[in-house]
Parts: sequence; structure tokens; C-alpha cells
Amino acid sequence: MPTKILSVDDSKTIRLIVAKAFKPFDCEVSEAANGVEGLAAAARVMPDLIVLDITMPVMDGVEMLSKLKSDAALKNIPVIMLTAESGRENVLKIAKMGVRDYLVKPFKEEQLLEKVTRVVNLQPKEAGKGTVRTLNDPLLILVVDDKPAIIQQISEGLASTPWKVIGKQDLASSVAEIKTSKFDAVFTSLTLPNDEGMNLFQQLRSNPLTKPIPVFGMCLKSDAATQTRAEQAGFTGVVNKPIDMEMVQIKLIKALNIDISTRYFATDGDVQLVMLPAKISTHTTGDIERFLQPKIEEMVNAGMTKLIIDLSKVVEVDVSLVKIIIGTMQKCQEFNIRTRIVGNEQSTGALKGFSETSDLTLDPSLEAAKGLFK
Amino acid sequence: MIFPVFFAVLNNAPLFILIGLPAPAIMSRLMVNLADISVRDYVTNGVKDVFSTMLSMKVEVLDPTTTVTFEGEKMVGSVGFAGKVMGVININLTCAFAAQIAGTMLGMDPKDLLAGTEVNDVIGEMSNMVGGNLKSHLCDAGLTCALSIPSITRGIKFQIESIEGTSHERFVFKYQDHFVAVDLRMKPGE
Repeated sequence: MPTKILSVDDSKTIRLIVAKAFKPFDCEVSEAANGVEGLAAAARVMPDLIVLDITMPVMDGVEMLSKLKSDAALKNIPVIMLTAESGRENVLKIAKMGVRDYLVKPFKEEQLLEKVTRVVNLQPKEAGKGTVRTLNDPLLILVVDDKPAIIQQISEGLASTPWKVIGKQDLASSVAEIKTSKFDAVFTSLTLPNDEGMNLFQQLRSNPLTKPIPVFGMCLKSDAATQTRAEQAGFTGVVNKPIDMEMVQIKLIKALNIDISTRYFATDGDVQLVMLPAKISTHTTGDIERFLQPKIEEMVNAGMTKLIIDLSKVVEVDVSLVKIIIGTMQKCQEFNIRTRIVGNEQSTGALKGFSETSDLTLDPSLEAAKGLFK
Repeated sequence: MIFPVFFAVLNNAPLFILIGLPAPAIMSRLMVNLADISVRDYVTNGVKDVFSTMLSMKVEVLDPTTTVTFEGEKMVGSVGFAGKVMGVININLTCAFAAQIAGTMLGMDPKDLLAGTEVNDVIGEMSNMVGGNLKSHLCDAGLTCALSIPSITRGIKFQIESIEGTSHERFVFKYQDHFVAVDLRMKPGE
């Protein structure tokens, strides 16, 4: 449900600026040009927050606030006052009126958003749509490190993905870049001079637009104190140096909730394919176990009855691979799904060495396997 | 509260409205109070702050005696204050620069704004911010006063003059090729 904001100001300029500030968020902004219109709009809209100017014709903000507070139905609506006057007397007067906060003009959009997020929860527009990213979707990743070799390593490590890396070496250039580009994730060194990595993290978290971006700290594996500090500060995660690029990908996939099922599962006509990689890691096993049940349920719902386990890319045959094959076949049996296995020379030979798979017949190609279903 | 009116405007035919002269005793008390506060700093910083915060424009502060000529249609945004001190603050600039300012502030093309009410509203709001800032400092210094709703005057050829007994200070700013002249006129209030 969108957050409802009511902007009451006689200046169209300010109303436009307020509306513009909330544009990236899941908000509905209503407007009124004076206190009388503001009270009527408040009763009609029942906003989650009112941004209220003080100096207005017809009925000023002070009178509107006093009427709002004496109305049982409206008195609990939080109000942030906007004022061109920052004098002591004015500030004291505002404080006594029971407003949540106040903002002195001139103000920047970020200042308004900072005040507002202390009162209501603003959600970026995309967050509400429930779209799921897949491995084929592009990502923009900011890597901040004063060592160019680290930026290069991450760029090259992700070169085979549709993900783009932008590298920066200090806080100032990173902040400037964040203002112009919309990043999906940030990796920052935790050992930049003047604690700039932590400073960047705090700046990202204090802006409602950048608050949801996953931020990973980077430091030496042996630097336990820095890792603990980052975890306590609320970093999404810590990546250890030397950097393991597989771990970087795994952390990104987890933080951004990327659907990686396409890495292992695909359909070919009326056949469901389970494609296993060259080497099975702990993460692969976990991913396949996680996706197998829902994929088989999807098959059953769609009336599909054929599944092929594709081992044509497998290089290393071990117990983990055997477990995946047996587990998949058992699951298929439960749902009366017919299975075939496609193997290469290496996997066909190696699987004979395991008692659980020694009797299995492997087909030489996908086409052959599909033909043998008939 | 009655706000002082220091001018009225007709193209090619300036019309001046005079306000009664203050009593010398009150005037001297006002001068003492005003001497205690840095009006020049408050106005200068207020204008610089509005331009940098709302427009990301860094204005240059020029010598107040700089001769400024506004070519073409001119615009004046005014805000009055009344109370222990009475006065008006006028922000003078060309309509072309005003449209550029409005375009920057609202994210619109200045060409679409030249004759629009949006420009008046933006310059009025800027006057309100500069006036509000000064008013806050005056109030903090004990010169309690209230601020008027901003007003806008547009024209090709007009001038605004002070009445006798009213102090007048001018502040001149420059952004790229554009000038902004701010006139502050004050006299003691009730």
C-alpha cells in the first residue's frame, strides 16, 4: 500500500519540489494551497504524513495545525513543518505545537527525505512490484577500493556475467557516482584512508533511495576486528581478501534474491532438463535441492512427464553428484515422471564405479535421450 | 499587521508611495540594535544559501557599488516585514534569468516558463526564503517582526526608491553572466 503524503503550501514551487522528492518512492502525494484546503484534504485522504508550510494566506500552518490537533479523527496524523524562519522564537513555537519535526527553507530533497523517513517508512517504487531478477538480468555494481588491482579482479571475475562493474578509489568520487547511477550493489574496502568505507556505508544507509542497496565490506581475512566492526555496523556481508570470486557471486545472488534456477533447470519442448555443472560444490547441491521440488511440482501442474539429467558438462564425478542423481530420480518416481540421463565419456565411466549408479544406462546425447522416451 | 509599501510600479511611469518619517528617538534606538547584528552577512549568506541549496548555483558576491543594468524585462520579488522593524527586501533580476532559475528548480525547460506563473512563484518563494532568514535573525536580536506573503513585480522600465528616513542597503551577486541585485530597505517600527 503506498504511503500517503499531504503537502500543504501556498507556493506551487514548494509543492512541486515536495512531490518530486517522493517520486522514486511508492507514495501518493496530495496537495493543498492553504490551511482550509489542507484540513479538507486531510479528512478526505487520511494521509500518513502532512508536510505543512507556516506562512500561507486564508489559513496559515499554525492555525491549521491547531485545528488538526483538536480533531479526534485527524490529531494523530504526524506533521512536519516547513518554515522559512529559523529563529529561536519560531523554532520554540513550532516545537510546542506538537509537530514531529520541522525543516527550514531552503532545503535539499535529501534533507526532506531524511526527516520524513524518521516518521514513515518509504519504499522505493521497484521494491513493491515483486519482480524477481534472474541470472540474465543486468546489474550495476560499484566497487570502491584504493587498490586498482582489486577493482580489476572483481571486474574480470564478473566479466562472464551480464553484470557491469564501476570502480572508484575514494569516497568523494563514489558519492558523485552514486548520485548519477543507480547501483544494485556496492563493495567497499573497509581499510580506505580516514575510514571512508564506513563513511560511504553510512551515507548510503541515511538516504532512503540508497538504503536498500546491499553493501559489502572488503578486508583481509586475518583482520577479524574490522570484520566484526562491519557486521556490527550492519553491512550486508564481508568479503575477505584475497577475493574468492565464486563467493562474491554467491553473496550477490543471495543478497539480491536472484533466481538462479535457470543455471540448472530448463525446458526443451515437453521435456524438463536438469543441467549439472562440471564440478559439484556444496552451493550447487544446496541450490539444486532448493529448486528441485518446486520445479517437479511445476512439471506436474503443466502435465509434463519427462525429465533428462544432463551430465554432458560434468568433469568431476563424486559422491555429491551421485547423491543429486539418485535424489532427482527418486523424486521423479514419486510423481510418475520418466527420467533419462545424458552422459559424456568421463561421467559414464566414472558412475560405473559407484554401487548406487553402476546399473544406470546413460544416453550419449540429448537428442538420443529424447528419442528413447517414445 | 500593516506591511509597509515602498513602491508601486507602472511601466515608464514610476510612482512612489511614501511612508511617514520615524521619530528620531526610535530611529536612533533602531540604529543601535541594527548595528549589533550583521545584516549584511545575513542577507549575503541567505542569498548564497538559497542559490546553492535549491539550485546548486554558486553565486559570486560583488561590490555593492557595482552598477547593474538589467536588459529587457525585469522582475522584482518582494517580501515585507513589519513589527519592531519595518521594511522590505527586493530581489531584482531579469525575467530571462528568473526563468532559468525556475527551470532549474522545477526541472523544466526555461523556454516553456518565460511567461508562466511558475516563474513568479519560484522568485516569490526565493524572496520568502531570503526574507525569512533575515527576519529570523532580526527576531533573535529582539527586533520582533512578521513576514508578509511574497509579491512579484514585472516590467520593462521602472524603478524603486527609498523614502526619507529609511535605510537602504544594496547587495549585488553574479552567476555566470546574470546579475541579481538585492535591495533591503528598513525603518523602525512600532
